[in-house]
Amino acid sequence: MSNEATEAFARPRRPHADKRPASIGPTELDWAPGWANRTISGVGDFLDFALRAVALIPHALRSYPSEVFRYAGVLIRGSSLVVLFMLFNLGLEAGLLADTQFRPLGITSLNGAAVSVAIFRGCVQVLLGWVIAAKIGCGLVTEIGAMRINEEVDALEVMGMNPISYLVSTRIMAVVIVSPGLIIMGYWMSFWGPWLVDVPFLGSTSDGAFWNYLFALQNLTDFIIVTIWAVSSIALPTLIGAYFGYTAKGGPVGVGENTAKSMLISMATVSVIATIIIQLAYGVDANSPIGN
Amino acid sequence: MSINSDYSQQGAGRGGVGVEETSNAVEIVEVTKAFGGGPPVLDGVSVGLREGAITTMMGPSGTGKSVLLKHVVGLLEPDDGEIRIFGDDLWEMTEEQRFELRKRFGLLFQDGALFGSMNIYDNVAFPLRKHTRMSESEIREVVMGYIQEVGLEHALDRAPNEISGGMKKRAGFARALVMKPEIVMFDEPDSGLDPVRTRLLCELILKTHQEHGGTYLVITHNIDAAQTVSDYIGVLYQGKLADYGTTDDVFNSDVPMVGQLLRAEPDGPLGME
Amino acid sequence: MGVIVTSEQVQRPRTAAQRRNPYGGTTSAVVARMPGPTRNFLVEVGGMLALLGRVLVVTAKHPAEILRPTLDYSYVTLRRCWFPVTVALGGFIVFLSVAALVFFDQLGAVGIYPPVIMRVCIESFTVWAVALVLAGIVGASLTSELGARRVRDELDALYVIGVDPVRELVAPRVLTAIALTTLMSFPAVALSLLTTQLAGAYYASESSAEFYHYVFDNLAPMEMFLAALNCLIAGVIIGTVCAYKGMNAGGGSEGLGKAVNQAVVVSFVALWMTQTLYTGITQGIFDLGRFR
Ligand SMILES: Nc1ncnc2c1ncn2[C@@H]1O[C@H](COP(=O)(O)OP(=O)(O)OP(=O)(O)O)[C@@H](O)[C@H]1O
Ligand SMILES: [Mg+2]
Repeated sequence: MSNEATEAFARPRRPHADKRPASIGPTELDWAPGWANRTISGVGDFLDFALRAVALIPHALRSYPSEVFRYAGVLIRGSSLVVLFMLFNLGLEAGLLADTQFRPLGITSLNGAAVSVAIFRGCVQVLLGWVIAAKIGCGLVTEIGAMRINEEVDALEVMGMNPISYLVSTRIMAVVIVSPGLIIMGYWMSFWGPWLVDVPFLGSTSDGAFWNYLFALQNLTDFIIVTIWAVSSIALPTLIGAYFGYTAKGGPVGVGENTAKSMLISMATVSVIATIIIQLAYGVDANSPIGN
Repeated sequence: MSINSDYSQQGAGRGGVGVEETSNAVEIVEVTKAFGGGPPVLDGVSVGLREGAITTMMGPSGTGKSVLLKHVVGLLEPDDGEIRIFGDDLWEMTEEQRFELRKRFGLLFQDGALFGSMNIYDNVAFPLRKHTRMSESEIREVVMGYIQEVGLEHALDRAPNEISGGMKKRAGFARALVMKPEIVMFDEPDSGLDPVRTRLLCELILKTHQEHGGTYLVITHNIDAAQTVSDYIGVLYQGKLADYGTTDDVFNSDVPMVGQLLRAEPDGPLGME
Repeated sequence: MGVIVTSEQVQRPRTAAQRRNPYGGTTSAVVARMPGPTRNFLVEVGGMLALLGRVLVVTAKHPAEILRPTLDYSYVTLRRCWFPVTVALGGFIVFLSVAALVFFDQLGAVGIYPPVIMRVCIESFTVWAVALVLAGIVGASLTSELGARRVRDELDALYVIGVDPVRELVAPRVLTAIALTTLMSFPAVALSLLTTQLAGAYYASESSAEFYHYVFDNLAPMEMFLAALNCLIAGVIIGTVCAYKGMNAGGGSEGLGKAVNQAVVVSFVALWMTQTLYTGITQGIFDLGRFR
């Protein structure tokens, strides 16, 4: 073997390896308790993962479009009915409560208003987030987690595919494709549910009054705010589910534990988002066309 | 009268040590089992486990050895056929009677099945605490005896997920034996152990059998282990009992598949399917 | 060579097996002829009811033996879940009170805000949120814990040792779910009152004296009783569904994840439906909306 060739082999693989700082790994805050360090590094890991997954969406669309649409189909067939049914049920409950509370006061004609403000501005989003966390988020943990445990993720990497792009970004893109329809249909369900209870069943208000008040108390600003809210209530549980699936370890038991953990964190996150958005958007200004 | 009775005249294996003819402690009669509408995993298997003898079940992977064993302890109910323990049909009993009967069983699961929430000592002590009125100090005496026999004194306080597969096996072994069961079953006691440990475990099985007696059923893929410990060997293949007999008989069997399995030959009826 | 001897015993008619035929009885024969999905649904519901029945029988037979592990498990669960439950539930309640306030503020009717929101919380939304949060957090962790034991063969090991896993493991867990759901409703209702009052004080400058005057004037014992009963039903659903799914977790790397996922989704759907039914029935029977 020639001398040059050996030298070529001996060249450091990373030319600037020695110039890097000694430690660029996760740093611990010495003064903070262990759980705080773990939480911070967990959130950091999650953000890292989520940003990477989102950044890889164009790559996923270019490379694995069929996977995107396949999973979108899975979502439409498998999850959308449950979600819409739940929101319809929420509407039924809301219509029922509006009637029982307003009937003694003689203001049942305002039922539509109650639905448009109390339900449309938040309840729909929170419950949507919770259902998505249960149905789609946990589903992702199970699916991706099982692949991780079966070493399919490693196999993908060995085959030269980017597992985050192939497994995660495609699924996130599918959720992005499905969610506008899901959100709009969800709103619709949460309007028709109370209509069904209040107008034909209990007769507490007239058809015209119901829709009139329903739309009188909302405007475009509302729609934009609640839709942003709904999107974040869908996006975060999805990303959290994908993260916990991707980082599953410890065999089937680990997948089960991660599923439970992702549910827990998603639920809490959705609630926290609700608390923050309602203060930001409506705490100061009720944004209403009447009374102000 | 009992099944397998045509073998009763023949001498027993286990290095030529004779075993007296006894009745069957466990009789598996024409047991058929299929899962979820698939093809039957067990297809009319009949075999008896002689009281006081060590019977080994062998067979290629996935032929239903573990399923057969789960039938014997009543974890699975056969689609057809009967399981008789000391002459009584397991599935004619009430649930209570079955639980009562299971106290006479000991079972080492394929991967130990130790309780993850307890340490090794508590795992081994668990059956005693549940079923006897012994004081804690008496329990300690009994448990430590078995734990020393399997050589786990140094790992008493460790949780099952902190010990190796072989240690789990040995802890499961101690737990299976601690109630001095009359029927003891081992599902692949030697899988995942190195050759020396396998040898020692075989000796341990033989030693405990000699000391406490009882009917043993061992499932193994290890030909040496089978030869060392068994009085009788049964071979399961494609849901049926392909061969059964004393150790020497089966090792000299002229059933092609059995010969191939015991001599680990690549050519023969067995393939990778 | 060995061919198995066929004794006369072997050839006798296998009546025992025929008697044990799972599809032998009339009901079972009907169920067996159902189309696949309906049959699976019926079998699942039947399995859950059977499990619940066994839990109740075992508890009635050995109350003293089950109390101790129930308390232990409740303690463990509370210690593990109090924080996420508080965040998820607290967030929802804070959000709900602000949303309700915004609504009444818009109508210019902050005066009727306390009793109405109090009723809406007690009669439905707080209880509902408690049920969903506990299903998603406590229920999921219960399923993953029992399922882990199933996957590791621990349940089979208990059977073989001669210990009934229903008595040893399932009953304490189901009872814990029932107890926690029922007991959690009281602090949750108290918290909703507090946040509603604070929201009133901050956003609409309502005095706390007036608020509590209104609230306690309109709070009937029947409402508290019905709320507790509602939570009890929710707890039974959560405990049974989650324990059943854990007990029947499939093997393989996705078996356990699937079990947790299904446990959460099934209990969500069941809770959602029973909640609407319960509100409809109780509102129909008791005239709860009456103002005093
Ligand atoms: N609970 C179950 N549900 C469905 N199929 C099952 C179940 N238990 C076992 N089987 C199937 O029964 C067959 C026999 O399994 P079993 O575990 O008894 O094999 P084995 O002979 O013990 O193999 P090994 O030597 O690898 O342990 C397998 O094909 C398995 O898939
Ligand atoms: Mg096996």
